[in-house]
Amino acid sequence: MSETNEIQERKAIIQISDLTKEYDGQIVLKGIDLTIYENEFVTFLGPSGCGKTTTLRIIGGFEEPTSGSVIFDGKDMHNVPCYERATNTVFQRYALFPHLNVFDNVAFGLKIQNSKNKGIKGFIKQKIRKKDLKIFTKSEIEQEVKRVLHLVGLDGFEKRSIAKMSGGQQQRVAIARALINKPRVLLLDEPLSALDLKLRQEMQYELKEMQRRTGITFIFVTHDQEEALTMSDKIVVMNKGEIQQVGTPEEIYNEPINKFVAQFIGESNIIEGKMLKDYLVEFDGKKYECVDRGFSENEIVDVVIRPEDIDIVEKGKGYISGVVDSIIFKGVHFEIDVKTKDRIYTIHTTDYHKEGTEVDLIFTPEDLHIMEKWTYVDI
Amino acid sequence: MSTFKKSLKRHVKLKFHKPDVVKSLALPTLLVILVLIVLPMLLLLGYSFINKEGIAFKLTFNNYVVAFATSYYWDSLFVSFKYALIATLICLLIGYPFAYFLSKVHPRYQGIILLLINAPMWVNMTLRVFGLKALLGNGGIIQQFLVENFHFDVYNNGVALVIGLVYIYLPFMIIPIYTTLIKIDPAHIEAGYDLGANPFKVFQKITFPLSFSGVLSGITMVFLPTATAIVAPHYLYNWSSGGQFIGQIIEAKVNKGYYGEGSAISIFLAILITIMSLTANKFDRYATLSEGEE
Repeated sequence: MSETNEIQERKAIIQISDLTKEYDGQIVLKGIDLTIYENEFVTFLGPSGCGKTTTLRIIGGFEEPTSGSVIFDGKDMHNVPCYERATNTVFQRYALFPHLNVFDNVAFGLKIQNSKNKGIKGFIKQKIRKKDLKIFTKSEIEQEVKRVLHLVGLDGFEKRSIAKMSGGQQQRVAIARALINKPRVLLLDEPLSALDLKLRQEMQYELKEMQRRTGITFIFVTHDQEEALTMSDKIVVMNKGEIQQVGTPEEIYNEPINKFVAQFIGESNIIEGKMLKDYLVEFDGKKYECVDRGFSENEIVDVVIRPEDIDIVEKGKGYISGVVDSIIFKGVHFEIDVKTKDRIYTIHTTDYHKEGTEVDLIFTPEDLHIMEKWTYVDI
Repeated sequence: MSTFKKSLKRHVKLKFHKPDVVKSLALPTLLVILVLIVLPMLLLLGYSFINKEGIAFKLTFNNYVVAFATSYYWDSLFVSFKYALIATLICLLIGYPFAYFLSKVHPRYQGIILLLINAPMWVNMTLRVFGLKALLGNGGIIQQFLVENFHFDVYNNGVALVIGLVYIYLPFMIIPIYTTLIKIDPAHIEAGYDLGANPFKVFQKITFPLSFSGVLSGITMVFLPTATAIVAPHYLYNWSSGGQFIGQIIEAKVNKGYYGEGSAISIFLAILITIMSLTANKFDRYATLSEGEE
């Protein structure tokens, strides 16, 4: 796990240790350890069934872990019900209350807070436990609703009925409803999956902006690697109930820790090789300089080369010779498959190479990412 | 050849989807409604304005005048609605919690329990009322026992009737409420907890409002038949001293050949019940519910 010093200086808000979860004897989480810091945009990324949503639901208090602990702000969350946690959730299908209009949906949290602080219970809390309670007046609630609706770009939608809103608008209401409580941590469970591509990209940007402006920690669950790379400060890649890698988007993309991460994050050429010694790797019968070290001598490894890191050059001027097998126009670049003696390399380039052309491939030592051989043991 | 086949296919498809064909599917129902509901209602309406003197028919408002002016009818209406209201209320108080419990039970058992709820309906209602009569009616085993030991007469004070009505109509309360409860998206409940509402508040602010349409149809489905009941009050209740149910009066009028008066009372009752149903339906709007916030 690599974390930059900058992040380590920050205050941890959630500490998850050895979290496991079983459903009817089926293990969905296998010992999750994770620290989430204040003011971070954290993304849980992984294929469906990897345990990312379960982890989120445990943090939110919707489910109890089978074992392990969640420490929130120094306090163990064991047996703390959902409604007493300083987290709020944006649900996958928004879960807006159909019997309430936009205003009442958004104001729900504050009204509930009021009802908790009024009456005998509130009196006891205030007088005996000397707690400072905030009771919102009607106009304060109106103000707050206005403020969060402005934050999500829905000014003037207060009286609108939920059924008369588009998916994107409902999404914004859901975010406003969660943000009005000023949670310490906002949990987002694949909130963009129901939106079309254009709207999704727009919302990605806006969510990131909202996170920056509010300073609230966001935990975002997605299976979309692009989304994760665009929005996150920190990505937690998960698979089969285990964390594979934690790191910044750059780290995850450039230094995938194993084959799963490399394959899940973007397209890759993954080649089995042998680490002869530090900074020297051998694959397909040739030795290459690289920038990785710390493997044992002659350790079998996976070598990852990103498609955009390979250059196509004239025959005789590169490391590996091959023939252009296919070329597909992808908009910004061409995707070219080059067939070599041992394998087919996928290459992204803006240059056109005709099918059947004999070419050479070249890359720099920095383009080779060496990973431990990933062996997955199924339980 | 193939174009011909295609066009034939399209033709057949189109023909099947022709609105006329679809419309014709409603014909049997329309016929039933016409013959068994509209026509009788019209006859009823007609009869209510007719006075039979010997063999001559005379157009008159007299039936309505009598219906309105006779205090006995008003008393009977009051008695009917009183017992209907009590029975509906008890059905709601028993039915809602039960429906709620049922919606939480493992789906495997829900079907079995529903079956058990419906089971009494397989037996003829008159038969069931007779069964109750043997226990709670005048001279019934339990009634006798209570009178002798506690001076508590369920037959004369109406308790037997309320028990009978609740027993017969409880499933009509449980089922619509249960149906709306199981349709509530669990995510809405979770969202309530997420926003800080404790289980009681979640019920008050989310579960109950979202199941309210079921409550309303339950109330309608219990109130209407109990208010116009004939069999249960006839056997489980001392109507000769406590006042007749409106349905009993109509039955008696018609049996004695006073079609005009019976029809007038029926029409009046129908109008009254229609007004009540419409008022109830007005509440069945999500928007009006959200106004009830503090």
